Amino acid sequence: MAIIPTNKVTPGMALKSAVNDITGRLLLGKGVEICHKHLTIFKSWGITEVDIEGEVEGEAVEEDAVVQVDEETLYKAREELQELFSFTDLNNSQVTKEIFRLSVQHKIDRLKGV
Amino acid sequence: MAIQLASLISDNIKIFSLPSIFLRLDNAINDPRSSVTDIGNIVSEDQGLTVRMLKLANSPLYGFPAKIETISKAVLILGTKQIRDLTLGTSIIRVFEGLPENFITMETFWRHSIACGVIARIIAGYRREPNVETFFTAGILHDIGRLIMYTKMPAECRNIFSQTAKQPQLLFEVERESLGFNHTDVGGLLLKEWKLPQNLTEAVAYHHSPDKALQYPVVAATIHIADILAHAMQLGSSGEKYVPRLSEEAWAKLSLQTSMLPFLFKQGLQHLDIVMQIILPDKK
Repeated sequence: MAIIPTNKVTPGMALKSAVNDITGRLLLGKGVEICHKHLTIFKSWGITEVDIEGEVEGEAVEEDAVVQVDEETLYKAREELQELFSFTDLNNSQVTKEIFRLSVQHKIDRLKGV
Repeated sequence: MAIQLASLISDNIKIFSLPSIFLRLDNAINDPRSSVTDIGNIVSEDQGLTVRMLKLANSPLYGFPAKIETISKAVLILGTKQIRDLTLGTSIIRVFEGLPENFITMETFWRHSIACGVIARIIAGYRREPNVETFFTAGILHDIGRLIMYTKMPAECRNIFSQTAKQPQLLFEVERESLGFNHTDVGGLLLKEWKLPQNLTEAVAYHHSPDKALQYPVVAATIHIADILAHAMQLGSSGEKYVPRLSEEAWAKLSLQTSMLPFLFKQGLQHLDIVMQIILPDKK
């Protein structure tokens, strides 16, 4: 299985699983071969990652970003973002906690140039 | 002498005037005798606007299966009110062109504003709001009061910035403490003077206090959340260094799940790139 971000999908790849939008509506069925038009469909319907058949080169595979980054980078990213979030209710608000977690991940992605 | 909020707007309303094309479009849309062709003709008079509209209509933001080649077709497919709101959203940047960049660069400012607009538009689309472009435009306009303040009261703004540098605080709170008003009041009053619809005015005036938006609480709550996400993703800035506090009531009002947030982050980034390329092609 290779779940890859849609910006790494190229025409010719085949879908291992069906692609649904956020409401569950079927956009493309299992086994469909990706063409240029499908890439626009992914963008239009907000599809950010898809399951592709077969082996995909290492670089394109999305892995857990947090694991890949060294401890020091992770520490620095968290520290900077903790300052950015100083006036939020990071301790009690579940929504804020999730936004913070995603911000750290986004920051690390940017540092890695993803 | 303390600066009065009302005179800050009334003294400068002639300098910062709405693009005339927007006013003509608004009149045409409100005139029952005007047709889609009339509205298309008005847009076509502005070449830059025509190009921006066609690029937007053909972008993945809409995902129409066939190419939209003429403005009248774009008006027909997107809707007249949507075209009016998009005209405002994509033309407002020209009104503030060439301002001194004492506090922030215009690119940073608009990047934050457009990010807020695209995220608000995605939230509105998810909620099946009838006119998502209102949310997009409200996002682009939400911090516009700051541009007036930076230009017309630079000494006071410098003071406010040095205060926050000494003791970290949220900028909009220091603005109110020092001046008795903040950028949301300035922006709200400007939009009122411009006679823009109440939903845009409330979104701008109450994006830091969405519970005060009485007539259009959903637009205000959406801009409140979108602004927080744009800050959290560090997509440009209007001067604020910190992520504002989230209103749990505003979040609850939108009936969003936290599982939606990764999607908002990812699609927000994708759409921001597309819209930046169209609205600010030199500054992507």
